[in-house]
Amino acid sequence: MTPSLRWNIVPGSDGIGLSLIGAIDESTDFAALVGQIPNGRLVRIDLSGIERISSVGVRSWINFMEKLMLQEMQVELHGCSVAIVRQLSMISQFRGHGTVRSVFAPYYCADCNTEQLRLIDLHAEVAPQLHKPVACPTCGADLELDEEESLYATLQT
Amino acid sequence: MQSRLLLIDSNKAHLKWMSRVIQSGISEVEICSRSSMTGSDGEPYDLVVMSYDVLDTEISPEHIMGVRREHPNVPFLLISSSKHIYPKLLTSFNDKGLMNVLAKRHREWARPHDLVVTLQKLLRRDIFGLDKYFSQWGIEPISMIVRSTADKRDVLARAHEYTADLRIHPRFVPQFLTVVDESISNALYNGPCDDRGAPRFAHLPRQTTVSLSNDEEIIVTLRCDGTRIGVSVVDPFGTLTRDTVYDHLSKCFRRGRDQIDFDLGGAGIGLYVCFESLSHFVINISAGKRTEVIGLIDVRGKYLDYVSGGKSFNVFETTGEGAS
Repeated sequence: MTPSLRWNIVPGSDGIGLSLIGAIDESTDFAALVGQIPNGRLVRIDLSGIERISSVGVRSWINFMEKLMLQEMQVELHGCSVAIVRQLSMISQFRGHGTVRSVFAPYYCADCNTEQLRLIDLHAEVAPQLHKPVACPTCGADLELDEEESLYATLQT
Repeated sequence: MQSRLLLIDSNKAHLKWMSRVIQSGISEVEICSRSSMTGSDGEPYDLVVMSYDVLDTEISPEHIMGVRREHPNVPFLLISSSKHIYPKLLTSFNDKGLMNVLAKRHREWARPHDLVVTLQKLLRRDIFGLDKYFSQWGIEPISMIVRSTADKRDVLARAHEYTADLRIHPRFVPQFLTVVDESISNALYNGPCDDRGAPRFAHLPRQTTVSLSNDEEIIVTLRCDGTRIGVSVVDPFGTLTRDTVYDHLSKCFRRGRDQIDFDLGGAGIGLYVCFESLSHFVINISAGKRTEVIGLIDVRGKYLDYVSGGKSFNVFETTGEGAS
């Protein structure tokens, strides 16, 4: 089975960087990933490249987070994609012991059928970030947030 | 045979509209309507239809249950403007007959076609088929057969191509694929049983390849008419039950530590993931014979329109083989 998830690990003096790209599903082997993560106090996981996550993938992810917790590694979730944001809102254990630092908020242009994403820092006030104007790079139209604004406040808690 | 319907709606305009749609869309029905929560002519009904608006403070889920108790064992359809009613309905009352809900927008009506289809399915028991939810026009539907885990991957790739070609909102594409994936996995792993009725594959990790015989094939159909995209996954097992659907959704809506199953096998959230990913989720069951899971996403507007709108959910059962 060809894995749907790829990863990239970047060790650093102030923590380990981990980027995940693709889909988290039944083909995802988090055990192999855990074996590749060097020892450290902090893992910063970049989730901007996650397009889709299946129900079995959700469970694998929760088990993965628990393994990091058992290794006493702090976890920060950065650049959570819209697919990850949905899981954070639906699944109570999805966040685990991790801290959600930032998420991508979607803005949509119906004329061009394209989506623009804006990175939202959840450790700052969210509303001003969400309301800052976004222009469609193709037609220049002002874009509106294409998600329920209240969702982002729930992620801050 | 004449069927008796009771319509309850505090909004008299909506009540009239429902009566008109039903009388023009369904033959041989006698409609009794009322705008108050209580009162009955004493005669039995074949179906009760009740409308609930989220901003109507006069009506609560408890009132809905009051009507349910007034007409026990009568099929019940709720028309609701709020998707937020589901966690309450599916966790508080342990009423497994309360799994037919049609969405409407606040101060707007439900889709008339869906109202007629849903009532016909409840009254006539002809429950199977994705085509019931679509007009004749639209993109040519495609059907595919799944007999193995490998087939599932091929179907997902084909579904990806199909949806990408439609130029719908880009966020609906992965969402739709998730529903296709979960529905096929459910049919493939949880559907098949042995001669004694014990699940054959449900306990297996989902990385394990499984195969079905030729007479056990799962049929996946995709369809789009410009307003919504749909998938139907039909298996010949009929293993999924109303109780299972209720228990799984109820567990997931409670959001407790048991939301996820950590044993081998599935994670126990597939139905919930489908529910949350769809505008309209339909489960058709002919026990021991056939199950059909239908997923529909309204693709007309922005994602925000979809996510802030209502959500329809139906579980239909039949003892006979409904026409497909």
